[in-house]
This record gives sequence, structure tokens and C-alpha cells, in this order.
Amino acid sequence: MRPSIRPGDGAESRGRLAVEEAERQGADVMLTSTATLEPAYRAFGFRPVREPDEVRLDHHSAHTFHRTWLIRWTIEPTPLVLHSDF
Amino acid sequence: MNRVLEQGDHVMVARVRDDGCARLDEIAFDLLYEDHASASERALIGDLLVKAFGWRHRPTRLATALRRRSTVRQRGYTLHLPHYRVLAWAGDQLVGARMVCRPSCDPPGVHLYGFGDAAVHPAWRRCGIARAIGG
Repeated sequence: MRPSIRPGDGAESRGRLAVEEAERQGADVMLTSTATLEPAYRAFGFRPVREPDEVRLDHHSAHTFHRTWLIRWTIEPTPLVLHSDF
Repeated sequence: MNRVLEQGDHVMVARVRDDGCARLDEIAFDLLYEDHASASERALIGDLLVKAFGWRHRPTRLATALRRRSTVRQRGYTLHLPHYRVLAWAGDQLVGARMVCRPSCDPPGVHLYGFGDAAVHPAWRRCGIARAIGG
């Protein structure tokens, strides 16, 4: 059965489905790229990626770092290299 | 007021209130795993993505953009294969979508979850749907 939030459920339960499912599955790190939704992600514990050494694209990508990346670690932060654009 | 919106092979009737905006507590949110998604659900999401992002998403060349649009419509995502999605429904109408993927990275033992492709139907914007499916 699909987890769901039906109309009329409390507002506080909204917006947590995606993050809660990642947490349930044992995500070490969550990453997104957004400028407009940054406040919403900050409320879920995300913060901007501080510098290219923390997360970067591999050398095959045209751009190695995006300033719109937001990240949330559940483990000690460690340098990540993404294998494709994000 | 009803607004009829052409969505590829689908015809979607978006109910728009007099103030042009639905209330967030009228929206239902579902979690959908990619291996449970039907072709019609993927196509519906693909149509929503094309409507939300426009016909040109990232590619700068016209031929590339047109090819990308067709691909996105069919598979329902832009760059990364979704692991699961959060869908926002107003009744039986898809009004918002967000996907979570598992991008490949080094070190390979790190469980990375990527949140992408947040899209809200143009007729249902400014209702808090994007924020609600944001996380």
C-alpha cells in the first residue's frame, strides 16, 4: 500500500513523505538543487553545499559545482563525486 | 470554473476556484515507487514536467531540446531514473510531482538520495504545492 497523505490531514504532516522515506531507507546524504525552495529544504535540515570539495561532479561534466545545491548529511560529511549531472 | 488543458494524449480538466487557487488541504499526496508506476502515470508526470519546465529544459540547441521533450514526456523524468516519487492530486488530477533518485557517486558505499524534478501544474501554482512536495 502506498504511503499517502489524504485531504484533511494535518498541515504538519505534509511535505515529509519524500524525506521520511529516504530516512526510512537509511539515506546517508540527501542532495537537491533549488533556489526557490531553499527555505522549505532548510526546514528539513538541508543546508547549502559549502564548497566544491564537499560535492562535485566528475571531470566528464561541463560544470563541476552548482551553487544551488542543498545537502543534508546523516553521517559525517565526506567528499562526494557525482558521476552525472545533477 | 473548469479549465481544460491539453496534455499530450490526455485531456485534463483542472478545477480552478474563483480565486484561482485550491486550498492545500484539498490536495492528496501519494508515494509512488518507480517499479510500481504504470506507463500512463509516467506519461502524465512527463506531461506535467514539460508544462512546468517549458519545452526547453537545459539543452541549448533546438534539436536537442525537442528530442529531450519527447523523451521526458514518455519516461516522466528529466535526468535521473526515479527511485520513488511524491505525487500531488486534486481529486483524480495530477497537479504536482517530485522525484527522488539514487545518483551514482564516489565513494560507492555512501547511500545518496537525490531530490529532483519538482513540478507543479501552471494552473495550480501559488497554492503551496511545491513547498509541500519539496521535502
